[in-house]
Amino acid sequence: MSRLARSAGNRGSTPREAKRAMTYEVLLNTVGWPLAKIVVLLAAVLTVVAYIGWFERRLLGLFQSRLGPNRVGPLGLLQPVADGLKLFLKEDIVPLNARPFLFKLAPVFAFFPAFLGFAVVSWALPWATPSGRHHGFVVADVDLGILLVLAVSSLGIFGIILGGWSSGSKYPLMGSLRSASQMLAYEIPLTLSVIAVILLGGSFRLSDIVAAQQKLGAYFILPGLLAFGVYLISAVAETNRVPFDLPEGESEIIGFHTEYSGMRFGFFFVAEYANMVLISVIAASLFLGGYDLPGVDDAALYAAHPNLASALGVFAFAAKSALFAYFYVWIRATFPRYRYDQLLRIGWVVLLPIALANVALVALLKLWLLR
Amino acid sequence: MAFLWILLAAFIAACALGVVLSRSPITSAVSLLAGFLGVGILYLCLRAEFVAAAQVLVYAGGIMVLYLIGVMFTDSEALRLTRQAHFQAWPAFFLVLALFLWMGHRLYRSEFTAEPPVLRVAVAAGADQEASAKTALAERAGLAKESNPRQVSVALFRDFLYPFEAASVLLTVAVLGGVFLAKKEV
Amino acid sequence: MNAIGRFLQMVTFPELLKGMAITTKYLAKPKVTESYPDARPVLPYRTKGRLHVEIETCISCRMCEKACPEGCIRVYPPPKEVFKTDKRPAEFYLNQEHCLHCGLCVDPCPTGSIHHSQEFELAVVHYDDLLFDKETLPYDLDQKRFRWNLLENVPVKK
Repeated sequence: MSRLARSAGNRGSTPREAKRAMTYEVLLNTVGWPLAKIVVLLAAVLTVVAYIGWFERRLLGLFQSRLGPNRVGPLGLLQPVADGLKLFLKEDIVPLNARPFLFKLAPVFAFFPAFLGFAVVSWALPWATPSGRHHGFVVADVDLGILLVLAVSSLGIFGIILGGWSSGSKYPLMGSLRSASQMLAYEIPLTLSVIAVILLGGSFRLSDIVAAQQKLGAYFILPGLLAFGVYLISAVAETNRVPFDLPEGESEIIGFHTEYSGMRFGFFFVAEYANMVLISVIAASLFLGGYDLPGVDDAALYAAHPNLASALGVFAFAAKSALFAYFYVWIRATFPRYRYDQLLRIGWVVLLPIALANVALVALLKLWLLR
Repeated sequence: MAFLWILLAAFIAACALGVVLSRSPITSAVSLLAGFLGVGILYLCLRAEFVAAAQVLVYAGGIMVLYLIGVMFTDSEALRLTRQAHFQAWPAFFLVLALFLWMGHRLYRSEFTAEPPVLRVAVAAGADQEASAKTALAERAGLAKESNPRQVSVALFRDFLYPFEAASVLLTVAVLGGVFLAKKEV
Repeated sequence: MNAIGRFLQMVTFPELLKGMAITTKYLAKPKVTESYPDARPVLPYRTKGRLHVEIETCISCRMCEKACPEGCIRVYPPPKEVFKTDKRPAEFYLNQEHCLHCGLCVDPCPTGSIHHSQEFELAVVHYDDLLFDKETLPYDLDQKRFRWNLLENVPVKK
């Protein structure tokens, strides 16, 4: 903003030139940079989402004494491309009983919330250009970053409900009902565990939360250990992954996308992996300090070499998120699926009271110890 | 901005009409969902981000899910064939029309001066008045200084604490009543 | 005390951690997958692959031809004057299309010239490729992992 005023005052000698410079600046700041950031972020996220599938399958293979997909390209690195091509080329079937409009709308509902959440994640300290400007590593640095993520991800359930209902078949309907009650049950502990972190950090903004962790000198996984546990469990349930994969049940239960084929199924598939990446990224920045470099004084490094600190921050963030992705694959390789009543019991009877008590606990902690 | 508002308002009104006029309950529910999302975007345009997020989180993400589950379990074909309004239709129409006209009148007469700050900056730049641009920017900075969640929390927990707590008590009573009604043996 | 113990067990999940330790152990173990087209699998030595004939030791006795239930082996001995000195067959045909891999031809062979090889890639493009003769029948000895012990009629590890 000061930059705007300065350019208006200094650059233009005549009023018209000043006006033009100002308009240019406004356009660049309101349209140009956000668009560029969105494109870069989407490309990066889509690549990661494509390769997290490969990563999961390779790792799962190693856990099970297999090798995993290694035939397409070196190390199987072209496997996501092959899968995507296959899905694109398959026939797109709309069942006779389906409601066509809702049937086609449902994958969109599943797909977009998963990607919208990435907009508020701040990936590193701002990048400084030689001209003295700072570009934040974030698309939308809004006040209520994490709340926006929660709000938007709560919309993903509509993809499942509408997809199951509009298929015009009873098995997807049953699958979608299972899924809906599961996601309702686990959304509350998830939100409460995030609220505990918000209390500790004192802000909804993810960069503020990371800054609070740097100021505290410890990651929030220590004061919020209980919240971390609740978050981990309910995040697995929210993303419909093993051992809470009842909505989908790859191996035996018929899930909500039974009637979907081709790229419409692909949308659900990609949305699941995007949710997994999003959950990992949020967990990394809430509990593991995000782009904070462990064992390094970030503020001093940023004052000395701002761009080095930013670049290293992105890598630290990626490494911390990858830890969570590894954890998800690990538990997928280890645990069998829960029964449906066990699943709801864990959600309502175990996690919810723990999460509620934890919020009170963290509030007291904040009140007395961390002021 | 005004254009965006007209677009959104038309969209929300169309969704509301869809809720009322549609014969299929699931179409009603989906248009209600679209209307909630539209209202959320409207809040965003008004710079009430917290309210927008709460709208999406609570209404679109929570309540609509329960609605949809309820609708899925009803016999939608039978509902489609049922005539849902009998003699009430015309009296209700005139009553709602009168209410609508009255509300429109009140809204038209009241003063709203909240203009989006970005628009002001652009206008100021267009008028090539440096001083006014600077004051507009300062105003914007002042607005942004007080963060949105903080404003909401100050309103809820300082200014209107007693009504807020009273509402929570009311909700608790409602929950207890619901449990009492639903559970046969306590 | 019991309640506290149960609570501790509930929050620390000892059995879950045990399971995760087991999967981690398997992460480091050697993999059992045969990466087949890149590396040929090690087959058991009694694998009944395509028949292999050591033409050099064959004495054209036609025992295998008589034993074959499918009649897919044809042995043509050399002319009589050659046979007196050189008993190697003039021609040896195997109709792979009909071969059962039953191994009945292997047992009666007095010299142990005919036996199963390790060859299991039996798909061919054309019918004619299923007919093997003296030239094409011997399995590529370089790829063989087992030598034939002629005295005891058993394979020996190389």
